[in-house]
Amino acid sequence: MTTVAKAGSEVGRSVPRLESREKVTGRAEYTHTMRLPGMLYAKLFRSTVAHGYIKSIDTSAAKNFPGVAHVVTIDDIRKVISNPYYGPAFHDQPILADGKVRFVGEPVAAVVAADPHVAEQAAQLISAEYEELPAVFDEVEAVSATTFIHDELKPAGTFADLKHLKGVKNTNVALDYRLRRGDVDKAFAAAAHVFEHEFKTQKVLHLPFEPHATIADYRDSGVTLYTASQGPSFVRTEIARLLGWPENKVRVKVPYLGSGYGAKLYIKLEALALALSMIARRPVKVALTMDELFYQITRHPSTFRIKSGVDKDGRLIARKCEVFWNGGAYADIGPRVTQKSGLTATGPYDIDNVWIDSYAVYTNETPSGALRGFGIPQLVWAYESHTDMIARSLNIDPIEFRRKNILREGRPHATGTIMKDAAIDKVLDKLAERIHAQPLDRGSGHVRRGRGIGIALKAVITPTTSVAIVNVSADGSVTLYCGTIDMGQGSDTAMAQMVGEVLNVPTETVRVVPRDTDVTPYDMGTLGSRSLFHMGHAVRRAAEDAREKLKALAREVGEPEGSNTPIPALFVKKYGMLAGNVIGTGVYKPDYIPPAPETGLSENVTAFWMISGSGAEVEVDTETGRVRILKLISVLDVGKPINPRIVETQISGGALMQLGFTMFEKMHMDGGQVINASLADYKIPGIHDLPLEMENICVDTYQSNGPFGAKGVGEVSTFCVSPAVANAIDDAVGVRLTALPLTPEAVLRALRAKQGKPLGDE
Amino acid sequence: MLSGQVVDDRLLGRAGEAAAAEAEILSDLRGSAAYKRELLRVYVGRAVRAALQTGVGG
Repeated sequence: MTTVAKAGSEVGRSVPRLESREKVTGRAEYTHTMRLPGMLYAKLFRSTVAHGYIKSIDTSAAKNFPGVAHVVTIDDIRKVISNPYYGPAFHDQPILADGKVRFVGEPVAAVVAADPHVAEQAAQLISAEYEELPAVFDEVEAVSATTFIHDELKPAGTFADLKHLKGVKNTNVALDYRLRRGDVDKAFAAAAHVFEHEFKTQKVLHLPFEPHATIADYRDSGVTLYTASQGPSFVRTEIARLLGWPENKVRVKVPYLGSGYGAKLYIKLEALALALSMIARRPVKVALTMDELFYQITRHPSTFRIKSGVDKDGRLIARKCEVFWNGGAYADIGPRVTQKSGLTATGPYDIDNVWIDSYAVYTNETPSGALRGFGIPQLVWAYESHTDMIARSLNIDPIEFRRKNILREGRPHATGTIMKDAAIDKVLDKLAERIHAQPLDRGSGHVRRGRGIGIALKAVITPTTSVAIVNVSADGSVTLYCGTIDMGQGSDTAMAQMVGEVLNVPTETVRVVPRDTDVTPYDMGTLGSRSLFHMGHAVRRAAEDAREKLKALAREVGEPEGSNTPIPALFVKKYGMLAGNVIGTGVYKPDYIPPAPETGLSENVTAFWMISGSGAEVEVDTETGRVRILKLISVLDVGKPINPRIVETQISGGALMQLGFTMFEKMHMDGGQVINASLADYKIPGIHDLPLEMENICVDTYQSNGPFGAKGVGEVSTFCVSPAVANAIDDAVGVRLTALPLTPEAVLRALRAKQGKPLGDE
Repeated sequence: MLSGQVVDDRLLGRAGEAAAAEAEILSDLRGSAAYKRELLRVYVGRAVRAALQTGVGG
C-alpha cells in the first residue's frame, strides 16, 4: 500500500495511527511473544504468607525435576548482584524475598528451564517454612501499628525531597507530605457550616492485556533487556546501578506495549530477569500470567478524611484533608503519588485556608503504584462526593455551589501557584449545559433516575525531562528518535505529526524508531499524561533545529533565502551525491520551584494543569440496587488536540476504565490473600457495562506553554467518573455511598438502611 | 404454590418469600447471602410476570 498525504497542517488532523496496520495484521512485535535463540524461561514460587521470616526453602525436588536448569533463591542472586534491592523512590524491594516475606504472592524462588511448562511444574514442587509475623493491611491502622513492614526506610536518592527519610526506623509511613496555607482552625471556628466526611477506595489493578514480560540477555561485555516497559531510560539507570556498570553497557529495547496504564513503569521484572540471565549465562525470559498480575502492582487503596468550612454565603473558606495511601509491601512510586497528587487534595476550588496531610503507608499487600491518574481519581472521589454533599445539605444546586467556589484564572491554587491555562470555569459551564440538555424523567415505582457531576484538576508531575532527535536523510526522508512508549495511546502518531508540522512533510512519511536506549535518547517515562507536552516540546525543538540546519545547508550551498530547492538537491550540492544527514536535537525540562518542605507552598509547582469534568445520568432499581449508566459525559481541557480522533478514544477509554473501578472492580482480600486473583473472578467492564450514551467533549482552549497549544490527555477523563456516579445515585434515590465500588448490594443496603429495614449481615 | 392460582402482587410476594426460605444461599465475593436472598424475592415475582406477559410456559 502506498501512503499518500498532503503536507501542511499536520497538527490538528485526525491522522490514522501509524502502527494500525501492523497491529491488526498481527505483525507488531510484543515482548510477551518474543523469543531469542537459546532462551530459557523462568517461573516463580511465591509466598503464601503475608508477613513472616523465612525459616527454610526446600528446592530439592524442583532441582531434581527433569529439564530444570536452575532453581534460584536470594542467596544465589547475591552471588551475582551484591546488593539486590531496587525501586524508583526507595531501594526497598529485593529481587527475591530476602529472609522475610511481606505480602502473599511475593516471589520467593525462581525456576529456570528451557520449557516454560517444566519450569512451572517444578516451581510447584518448592516449599518454604515461615515464622509468621503479625500483618497489617489497613492503611490507617498501619500508621499507628507496632508491626513494621520494613526495618528502616531506604530512599533511593533519585528524588531530593525523600533524602531526609534515610535510615528512619519503627515506622510504616514512607512519606508524609504536608501543605499549610492560611489558618484552617480559625476559619472553621468562623464558618457558618462545617462538614466532615470519610471516603474509601478499594484495591484495583491495571490488567494490561499484555502482562509484564522481560527477557534479559547478559554477556560480560554488556546486557540487553527486551522488556514491556513504560520507562526504558529508568530501567537502564537502575540496571546499571545494580551491576555497578556505566549506562552504555546496558541496552533496553521496548517494542509496542499491549497497554500499561502505569503498571509497567520504573522497574518491575527487569532486575529478576537480569539476575537469572547472569546465573544461567543464557537469555532468560520472565513473563507473568494474567493471574500473576494480582501480585505485581495495583492502584493505591485510600482513606481520605475531609473537612470543609462554608460561610453564610456558600463560600468555601477552609478545607482540611488527611489522606492515607495504602502502598502495600514496597514503596514503588507511592511516595510520588502521595506528594505530587496529594498537593491537589483540596480540589479545583478557591479556598483561603487549607491544610493537607498525605501519607504513603506500607502494608502487607501487593505493592501499589501509579494507575491512570497517579492518585487523582482517589482524591476526586472523596472531594467531589464531599462537595456535592455540602451543596445538597445547604440546599444549593451542586453546579451553582461549584460555580461559586471554583478556582479561576489568575487566582492562587492551594500551593500558591497562580492558575493559568486551567479552564475550570469553561469545563463546568459545558458540563452544566450538557448534563441538563434534556429534562430529567425521574422515573416511578422501583425505577428512579438522577444526575450528578464532578470536576477536578491535576498538576502534571514536575519537573521531568525529555530528549529527542530528528534525522533528515539526504533523500529528504525524516526519522524521529524519541523514548516515549506507544502503549496504545497513539503517541508515535502524535509525535510524528509535530515533526511533520515543523518540517512540512506528511506525518505518514515520518519514521518513528522503535525504543532502544542504544539509539533513542533519554526520557523520564511514559507516565502521568506528561509525554505529549514534555516529549512533544523536545520533538518540536529537534524538528526546528533540523529545519534551521537545513536552512543553513541551503545558504552554504549558495541557495537564495526562501528557495524551494528540494532537500536531496541540497545534499547533492554539498556532498556531490546523496550522502550525509542533518541531525536536529531537542531537550525539554520545564521551570519549577520545589514546594517548601514545611508548608508545601510553591509559586511554580507544575508545568501545566489538567482539567476534567464528568457528568452521569443513572437509573437505579430500588428493589435490587442495580445502577444503569444512561449517560456518561466527559468534558476536558486538553488544550488544542494534536489528533482529535485519538484524543476522543483516549477520553472514552479512560472514562470506561474508571467506570469499572467505580461500579464493580475490587481485589477481595482475606488475611492478605487475594481471593479473586483471576479474570474469572475479577470483573472488568464488558459490552453490557457500557453507558447507553457517551459524550466526549474538549472545551476550546489553547495551552500557551504547550507544544502547538496542546497538553496531556491520557488520564484526564478518569478523574471524576466515580463521584459523578455516586452523586447521581444520591440525586436519584437519596442515599450516599462513601466507599468504592458502588455495587448493587452497596446501593440496596444503603436504601434499606434509609427505609429502616436494614439487610442482614450474613 | 403458583400452580392454578390467579397471580397478584401478594401471591408473587409470598412465592418470593417461599423461594428465599427454601433456597440454599451462600455468601461469597459476589454478594452476601442476605442480598442474594433479597434478589431472589424480587426476581421470582419479576420472572413470573415476565413469563406471563410473553406467554412463555403457559
